[in-house]
Amino acid sequence: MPADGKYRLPPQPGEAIDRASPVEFEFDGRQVKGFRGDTIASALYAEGTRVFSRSFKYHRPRGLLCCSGNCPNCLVTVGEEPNVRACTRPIEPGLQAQSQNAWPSLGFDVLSLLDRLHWLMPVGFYYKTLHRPKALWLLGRQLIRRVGGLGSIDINAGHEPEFSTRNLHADVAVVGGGPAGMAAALAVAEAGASVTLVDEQPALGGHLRYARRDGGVGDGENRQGNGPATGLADEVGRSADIRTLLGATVFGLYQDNLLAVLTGDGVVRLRAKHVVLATGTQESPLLFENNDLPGIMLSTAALRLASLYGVLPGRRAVVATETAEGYRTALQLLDAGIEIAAVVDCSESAGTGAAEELRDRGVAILTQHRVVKASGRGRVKGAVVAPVEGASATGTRKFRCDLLLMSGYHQPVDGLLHQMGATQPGVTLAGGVCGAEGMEEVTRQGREAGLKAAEAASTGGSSAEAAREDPAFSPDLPAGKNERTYVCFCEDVSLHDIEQAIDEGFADIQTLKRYTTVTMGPCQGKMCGRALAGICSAHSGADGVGTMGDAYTTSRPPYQPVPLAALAGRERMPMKRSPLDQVHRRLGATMVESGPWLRPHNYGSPADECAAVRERVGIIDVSTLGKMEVLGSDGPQLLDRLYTYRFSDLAVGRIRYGLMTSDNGVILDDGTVARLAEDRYFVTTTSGNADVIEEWFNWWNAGAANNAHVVNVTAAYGAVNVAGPRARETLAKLTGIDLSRRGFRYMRSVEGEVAGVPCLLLRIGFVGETGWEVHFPAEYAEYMWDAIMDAGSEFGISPFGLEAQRILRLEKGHVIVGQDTDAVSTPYDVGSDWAVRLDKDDFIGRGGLVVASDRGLWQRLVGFITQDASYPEDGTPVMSGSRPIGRVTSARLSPTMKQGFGLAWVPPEFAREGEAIEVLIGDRPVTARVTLHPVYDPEGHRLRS
Amino acid sequence: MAGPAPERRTAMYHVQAAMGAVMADADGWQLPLHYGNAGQEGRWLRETVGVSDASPLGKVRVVGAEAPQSVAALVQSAGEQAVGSVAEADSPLERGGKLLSARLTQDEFLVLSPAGVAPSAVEAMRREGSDCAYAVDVTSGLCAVAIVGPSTHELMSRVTDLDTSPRALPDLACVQSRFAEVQALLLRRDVNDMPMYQLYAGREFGEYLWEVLVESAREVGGGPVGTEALLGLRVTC
Repeated sequence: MPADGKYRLPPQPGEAIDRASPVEFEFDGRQVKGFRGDTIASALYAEGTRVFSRSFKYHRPRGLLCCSGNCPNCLVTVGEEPNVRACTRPIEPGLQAQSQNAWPSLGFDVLSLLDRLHWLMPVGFYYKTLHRPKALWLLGRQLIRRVGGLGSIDINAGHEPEFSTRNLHADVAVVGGGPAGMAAALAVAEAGASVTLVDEQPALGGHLRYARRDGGVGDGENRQGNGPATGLADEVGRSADIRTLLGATVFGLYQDNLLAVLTGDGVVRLRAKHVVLATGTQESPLLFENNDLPGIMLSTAALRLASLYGVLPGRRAVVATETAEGYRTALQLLDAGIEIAAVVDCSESAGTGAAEELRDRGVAILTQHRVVKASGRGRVKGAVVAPVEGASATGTRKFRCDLLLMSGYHQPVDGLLHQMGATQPGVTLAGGVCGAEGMEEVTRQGREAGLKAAEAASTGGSSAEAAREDPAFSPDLPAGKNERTYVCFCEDVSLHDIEQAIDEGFADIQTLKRYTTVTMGPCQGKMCGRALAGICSAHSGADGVGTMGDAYTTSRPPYQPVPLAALAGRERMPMKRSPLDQVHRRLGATMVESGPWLRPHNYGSPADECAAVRERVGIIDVSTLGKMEVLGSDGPQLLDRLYTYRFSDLAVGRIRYGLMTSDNGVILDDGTVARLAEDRYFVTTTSGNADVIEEWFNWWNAGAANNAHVVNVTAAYGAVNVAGPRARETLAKLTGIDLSRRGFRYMRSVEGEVAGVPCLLLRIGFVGETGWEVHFPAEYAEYMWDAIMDAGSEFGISPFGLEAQRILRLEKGHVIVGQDTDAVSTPYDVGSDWAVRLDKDDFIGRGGLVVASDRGLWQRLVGFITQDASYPEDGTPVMSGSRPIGRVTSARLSPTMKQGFGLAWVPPEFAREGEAIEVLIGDRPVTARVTLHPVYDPEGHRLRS
Repeated sequence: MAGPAPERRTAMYHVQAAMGAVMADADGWQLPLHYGNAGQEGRWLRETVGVSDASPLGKVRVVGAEAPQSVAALVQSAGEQAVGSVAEADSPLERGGKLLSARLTQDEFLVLSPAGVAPSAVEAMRREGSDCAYAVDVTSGLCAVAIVGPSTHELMSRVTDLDTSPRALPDLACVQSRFAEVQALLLRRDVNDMPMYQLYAGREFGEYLWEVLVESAREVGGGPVGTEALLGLRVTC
């Protein structure tokens, strides 16, 4: 069949397709031909496809309903992407689309059997059945998940980032590219403000792109598709001051006018000073038996098919309408050569010009009538029409048709507004969304909104508006059982289901929603919201529905479904990298996350690394230590205030260990403080805490009118700790600094050159051996590492990682803040009484420490040694008898003793040398002995040698 | 102890090398000369956007109540400088060149100098400036990336929600914000009528930021550029 096959109309004025460019794609394995500009749905429809999906619950065949990306009826899988709306996704050569939720095929779906079994699955059936025996639910749940649902995600699909996030700014953002939106954007640009115009369609024009007989246009003026809409669009296109985002859906309106916009490349975060919502209206479906048969669609859907894609929506149509729109639709379809069997209007009069013209052209018009039932199996064959209640008209009539158009009330598309509550400062409405009708009124309103927005954006003023008040819902619901009168197309919720739920006592629209799942599907209430409100309204009073709740269910972002990948955007996970990062990778280190850093856990064998430090010399990257310079004549006072110890009396060239506590005396951080000059200290903090402690310093420094300054130099210095009995010999090869025992004592600092690079050397010993922390400008880091490794090679130097460092420090009983301490640990609890000087001036935490000192210990961190090489896991309980009395914070195998050992919290009465406690190894309680001394070199001879 | 002169590497050295950079020495620093096609890099600079490593620039943080007086020892107009603005001056220091002073807050400046000049800038401010201000050489602690070309703004829109349009961030303005989730200083200084932004962040984020910026540059049709292409357009950071 040629591409311009049996359902293509002759070229339509203003159509979106390019008939000179055929495009072939694949649907369910067969080749389909269309034109450039076609959507998957329009091309399939032109070839005769009428069933596009199977419904969620009963697997009923479903055809096109809205043709505008708002309903669930045409969801397909494209490539690996499930739930793509076929009616908005443009075709491209080689595109592969597949139907969803149907087996073996769309036309014949085995599970459509469920439609016959609907009585087995009443509303909320999974709350009521499948409960006993319990195992039944497990089975039932699996079954429901398999049977129900939409597309499935291919978990093997590629995870290449497809989407990136962009941030745009504008004085005014206009949502909706119809006549109101375009007029608004032009007015904003004229006023000299910057404006961004967003529309979800691929072209500007709004409903005028397809509605040629819009009343306000002046009959016929837009008939050639080149009416005022085109004129405005051209003007917008010419304006250099208007940024236009097409094919872009605004799915969220957040505080301070942040608009979340989904585009083909990803999410755009559009920040505007003022927002104009010109989102227009959305036609709603009507309620009658079998209203979901393929061939029954919104009247605007048929117009879109005919005008935009030149596709014949049907040969003989019945138009059911609640408003004057239906007449104009019928007229336009008549123009396009479609036979109109009847226009069925539930209202009293049909006094519009369009109605007159239709009558003149021989179309039957039935006022005060409604469609009560659609006939046909798998496709609409006819419409049964009856007078509305109380109308004195003829009886039931039946019209044969292959197209049944529903033109329900056009509800304002104001979901975005409601996301922020009913009104939102900085948002102006214009056009159909606030009730404007007719081209003149719509564009005038758009223009006024634009001017107002531009002014508000420049003055910072704001205004708030609510959408128009809805007219009363028509309360007359169709009579009968209504088991197949669908309110919710997404989840197959019928009018019968809702009425049953109301009978069961769900008397509020919000609970009704949660119970029946109506408005909870992919359309998020766009198709069913108004019908639901109408039903609630009709049942209010006697049943109480709608009298206590809201008129509508709550609108929340996202307004349209958004792929998670688009929300996520590109991965942006900043990890801090040491300047020696590449060195570790080259050496094959196993890296671990340590706070915001990636650090080497080990280079193969932590035990060998420990041995190297204890017996020869080891080198570890400590570039990640937080480093700050505290400058100024008041620096000493600042440190005295922040640390528990005194630092104002620290001599230049000396180092002291410092503990910092929070206001209530709990340990916050620890590190070393070196005084490099009278007015210059070099402070280190733990790796993970550097940023927090910098803030802490600045926080306490900010209020004081003093001459003290804190500069974070963490990243400025690379640093290594060179430790072990041969550390001195290693470094001596690289520097002229006197490293002798007397020349460079423990806890002293010296600035000088090492390997030709200016360095700061601190003689400290976290791991309990002779050692120096060498700090150097970060850009020399790799050079320094290589130089030290070269120098140490003759002494058997080995790099060591975090794990070895943890074992070595544990042997020295050194505490790691955060690992061994928690949110209530004071310095007294960890045995660091010596680090607290209550005899100095007030300092942060003094009050808490005085209290803690007065009340005595509640718990104490002690060392313990097991009897063999086994040791408990970190965090396991400490027992006495069968009673838990504390917990282990760190435990390892001691390479020195070849015994398990660690640190643990115990009650103070257990904190005695040699006291027996029990630790759990696996589930087995094992006796361990408490020790209050480091298990390695308790006197610190090696450290000071 | 005389060996080869110690080599200075920026935070991005290895990731640039992995992108095919041909390195050359610049004031003791290893910087990409080009990535294999300097002609292409020049086109990016003229037509879209190029990102370039500017980390060797001297960076001095000046803090204190009288920081303006200290900075004024080098950049005379610093005293009158508004927060968020950048002042430019010919360097009075021996090596010459231009100095930039960015006023970050009321009592905090970042003084930018050609590579290698920072120590003498610190020296000059300590000598001639106020005692109530401290100058600290933070050259090693900050990485810097120059983003040059007509699509600069478009690139920035992919890494920050800050409005970087010329209206919001004109030439010689600076602002601290988040860029690809990292806190950084953005400074705008156009050269030869070409928009140029400089981004300064902690060196520890250098590799990450470089990857993000190059990826974003590629999305808008640009890429990484070396010193050769920049010099070809007489762009100096």
